Amino acid sequence: MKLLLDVRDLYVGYNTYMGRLKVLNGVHLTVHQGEKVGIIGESGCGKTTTMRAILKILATNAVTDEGEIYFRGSDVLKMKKKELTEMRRKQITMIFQDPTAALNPVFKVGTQLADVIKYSGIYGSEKVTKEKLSAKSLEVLKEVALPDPERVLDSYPFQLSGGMRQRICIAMSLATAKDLLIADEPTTNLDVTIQDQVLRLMKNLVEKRKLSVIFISHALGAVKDTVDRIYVMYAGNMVEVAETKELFANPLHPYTQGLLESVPKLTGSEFSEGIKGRIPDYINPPTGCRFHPRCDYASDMCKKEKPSFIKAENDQDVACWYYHKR
Amino acid sequence: MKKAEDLLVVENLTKHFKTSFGVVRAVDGINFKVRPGETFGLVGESGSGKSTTGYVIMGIYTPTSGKVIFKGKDISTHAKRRPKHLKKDLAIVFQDPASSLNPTKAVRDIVGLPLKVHALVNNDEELGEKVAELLKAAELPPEDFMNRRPRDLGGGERQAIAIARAIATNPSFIVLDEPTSALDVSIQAKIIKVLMRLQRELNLSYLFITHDLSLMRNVASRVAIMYLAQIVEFAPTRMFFQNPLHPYTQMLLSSVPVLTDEEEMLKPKEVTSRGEIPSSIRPPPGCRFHTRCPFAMDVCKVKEPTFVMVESRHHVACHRIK
Repeated sequence: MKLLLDVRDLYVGYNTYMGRLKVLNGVHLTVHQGEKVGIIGESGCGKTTTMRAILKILATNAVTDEGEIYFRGSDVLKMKKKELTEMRRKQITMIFQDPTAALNPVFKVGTQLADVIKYSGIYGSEKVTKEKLSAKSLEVLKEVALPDPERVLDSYPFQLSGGMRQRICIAMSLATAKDLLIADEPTTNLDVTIQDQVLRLMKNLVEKRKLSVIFISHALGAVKDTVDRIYVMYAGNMVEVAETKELFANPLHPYTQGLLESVPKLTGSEFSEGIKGRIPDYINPPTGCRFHPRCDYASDMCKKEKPSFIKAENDQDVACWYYHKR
Repeated sequence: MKKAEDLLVVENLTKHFKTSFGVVRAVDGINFKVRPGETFGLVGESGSGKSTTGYVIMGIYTPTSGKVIFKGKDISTHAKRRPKHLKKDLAIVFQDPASSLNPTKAVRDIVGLPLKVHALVNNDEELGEKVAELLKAAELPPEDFMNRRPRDLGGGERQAIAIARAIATNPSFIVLDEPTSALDVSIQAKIIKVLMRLQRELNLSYLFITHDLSLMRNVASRVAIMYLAQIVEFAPTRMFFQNPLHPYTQMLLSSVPVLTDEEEMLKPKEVTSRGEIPSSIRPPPGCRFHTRCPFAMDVCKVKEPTFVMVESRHHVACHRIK
């Protein structure tokens, strides 16, 4: 499979009045053509920062210290403004976590959707007319199974429910997506029955368009059903990478193990204690492996040096000194 | 054996809100009972009225009609009109600990306030000791937390503070309004462990409000499912997950994303999710779920179903079940 996205050793921090938050601590991430990749981890572990770094839409106080991001072979960090705009319009699209914040409250849905379609370049050198745009807008709304699409086009975002707004964001992304779709917690604010519908829809459209996907979510079950390969992220590091099935059957990193055990089961089996402590302070992050203060297996080595990825059994990659030693 | 007396009885409880768009029917005639020492789970989607129910019990809202009976006494009034000793006996933990704790106060003052209000301590020294005890019960080392402010703490720690405050007056009943839905799963597991240990040690009754069925399976002894201001099914937890009867319950269960094959087997296969919860200003006539129900018949559109007992203690309101 051809490599589509390659993030190498990425360090990103945020300057605040209290000091530099050293969030991303050498992130590696690859996505191949047509592959669906998931990222799981607690809130504040840097999932969204990584995605924003890829699109170069980080907050103004963010600093990319080191690292390379290659999309289709060209370095995103060195791209000129024009190239970046092209990439964002035509190649990578993103569904954000909060549809209320992603839609502009003072424009009607139809206007916003038409704009996105107009600038996405799907018409190439053809002349873009109003009629074409509104016909296409209707078509994409029908695709995401929104009832009464004419009325939706003529509504402001506040007149619609959360589920409807998220479906509009999905419609927007999918109308124009060509290569890579980044879905950043697309269902976190939705009820389960709505989440189920939105995910089914997204999966169908992704299959149909043969898109590559990066899917981020808290809902581990939803990730499991959607992706081929999963990255586990903790405090700005990828700590484990594996095929979906393998990861859930045989988690290797202590963090992954703790995370999976914490999920309450429908079968009502024994409830775990969770993981002790909480995500570290990014101004003075722990030395060595950033997970060591919360890890039951931590040794002196873990406090001193950051573990690199090592191939463990079943082709899983894990960044943990415990597996290095053996 | 003598039947355990009910601690809390909710009878035909209704709460309507007048707005400029019309009357919002947040809770529409619900009945349930909570026994001493049990966890009663109330599950539903957003907008189903589950939080409003909790708030009416706490006296944050006055009910429009119906009764809330606590320890045999009618308490269907606003908290302002309730006697002080009653307020001591009921407590609540809110969903978002960031907004339920005063950001300008130190933990000592937040947890100490109910102790002062109810005159449970005589002087400052006693207050400090008692607060330390409460923090220990919530598994927070007192020396680290006593003088810190909520903004210095993580979400899980804040929620533990809210729990310490809730048990400060030694209540017998606590409303837990989605206490862990703002937290990560690893933190959630810890908070739930604390809650369950406290329940055993202090013989607490919980009304546990959540939208998370997997969590409910692990904490509740009995579960009620709410849809659009009404309860549609209730049963003891185990029975409930083995044999969900109401189509809405089945839809909820089939939508839960799961991790293992055993869980997958529990999910009903014949119902898939569709549609959204309608507005509670103009709820559909007849059975309120008929607009989304895959099995809706003509009678569902006109006649409201009544509760049928299927097995002992398993009740469901659906026309298909006789």
